[in-house]
Amino acid sequence: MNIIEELDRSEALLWTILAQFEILAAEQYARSAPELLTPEKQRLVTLLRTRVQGPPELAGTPLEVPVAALMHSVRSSSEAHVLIAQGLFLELIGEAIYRTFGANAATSQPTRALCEAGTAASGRAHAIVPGLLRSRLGTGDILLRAIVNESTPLLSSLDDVGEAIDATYLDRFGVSFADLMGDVAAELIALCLELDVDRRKLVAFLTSALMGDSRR
Amino acid sequence: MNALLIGASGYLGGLVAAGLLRDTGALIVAPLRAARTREGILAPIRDELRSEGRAECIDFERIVTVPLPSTADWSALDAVVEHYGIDQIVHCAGSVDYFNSELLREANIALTARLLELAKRHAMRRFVFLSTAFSSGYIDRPVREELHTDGDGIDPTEYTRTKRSAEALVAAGGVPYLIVRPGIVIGDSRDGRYSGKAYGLYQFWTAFERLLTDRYHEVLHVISPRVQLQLVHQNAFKNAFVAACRHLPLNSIVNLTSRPDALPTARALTQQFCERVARPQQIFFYNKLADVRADIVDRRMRMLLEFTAVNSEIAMHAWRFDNTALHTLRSLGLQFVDATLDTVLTCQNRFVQGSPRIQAYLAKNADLFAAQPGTVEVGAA
Repeated sequence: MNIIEELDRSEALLWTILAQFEILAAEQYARSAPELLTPEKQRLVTLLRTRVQGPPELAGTPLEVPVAALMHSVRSSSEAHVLIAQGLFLELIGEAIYRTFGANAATSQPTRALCEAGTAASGRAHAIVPGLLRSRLGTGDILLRAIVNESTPLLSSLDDVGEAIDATYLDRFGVSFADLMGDVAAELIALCLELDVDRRKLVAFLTSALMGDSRR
Repeated sequence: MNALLIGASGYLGGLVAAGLLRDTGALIVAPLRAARTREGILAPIRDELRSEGRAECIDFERIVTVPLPSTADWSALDAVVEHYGIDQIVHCAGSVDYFNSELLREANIALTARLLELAKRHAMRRFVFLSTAFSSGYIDRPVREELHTDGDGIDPTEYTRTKRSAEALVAAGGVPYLIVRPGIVIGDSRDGRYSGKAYGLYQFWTAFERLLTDRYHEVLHVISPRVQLQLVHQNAFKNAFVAACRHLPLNSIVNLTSRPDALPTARALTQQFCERVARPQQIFFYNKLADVRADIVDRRMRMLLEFTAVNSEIAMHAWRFDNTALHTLRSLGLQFVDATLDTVLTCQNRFVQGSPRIQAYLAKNADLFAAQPGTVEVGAA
């Protein structure tokens, strides 16, 4: 059953965006990292395919351009890119979004139900991905180098997404991008430390990538 | 002297290009990577000179761009050197990617070695190397204007070590040299304009902008010891670099840092930002990240602290510098505006005025701002 028409515009936009990214993730996992195409992920994607159909279009919204740029930054199908950009970063971001919106009193029941499926899917990926990173890409400085190579475009495009998210969701739900990224960064650092990545090096990289250019 | 300028597309290289165009008659040949265009590097140089009211009288045809050859075909630059009658290399390229060992070695050491070979092959008159004031690593005495000895100090990252190694290569390269060691370059003292990346102070301001402006925070936690930050305004850097090229004897080393009696501390600068921009009710000041109690700081505030602490480690060290060469240049007429609390405020104001997010934060939360925030000191001084 399509839920889009039941939702207010900001929630409908949220699911339109998340459906795009989850469907792309499932396609990339099928090609390059089948371990991450878990039953939970397949269930989520099936739900999104059936329940999120039709308008609203992103065109003309503040989210249109930054979301397109973010989508473009994660399209490579190389194994390293899929494991890091999708399996690590976007799954952690997804987990933060699902957890935050799922627990938000202002969201609708259909949104909370989909968030529950999303939390299960991204939580499962979160549990699997460290082992895959370790066995496929390595640990420590080798892994950090791969993280730098594969995630820099994604991280560089996040700031614009954040501004659009705040414009769309801060007043309505009290959710800001900085809230989400605080959780994501903390989880990411904890996960990478388990894989012997040097904390100072990782934080220095994240700082440069996320804080970006400050030309005035 | 016609110059081969390496790194003209970077922040400091662009300032050097503007200074050389303004104050000398030299032809500047700038090798560019394939992704760069001549117009792309000229635009910020033109802006810099325009903001000084000097763009109209500059002949920008004096900047010539040539393709940067691959390392496998470095000899392509030999023809460039011959063709343009180049008699000095001004090497402003490098990496400040503190923890990327491979890039640091390539950009700071290997590239310098290749350029020195080029200079030596053509018997150039001088090799000018842009280093850093911090190339000694942490040492317990003033940083002298001489080559540092390896193993003398403690390197906080490989950055300082690779810069020190490159200086040693330059000094032993068989070509007369000038090594310029600036502190942390920030915006122009007159209007605050800044075209560099978000390092140091700008990283703190940017982190505040991106992490904390979505809503008002009554309490802020900041790491800012009472240590002077070795800041140099970009106009002072530009003037001093060119003056050093013109007036210092061959085989000189010059520390470009502001007068210690003028420099503000990290604490004063943070307090200035908090009192004028963030406006919390209370500020917790820490001297180092280890002093921050995890249980009293939320995850987002902790990210702000981590993000701003890691790349500020070098800046937060209590440095002291010998400035003999800079005194000489001042006595010869160099206009070198020292960084002070007031001049940094000019840069801060420019940043704040150019930030729609901070402007929205200021407008939205004006009723909540503290007239004077309370302060709490945490940890040993």
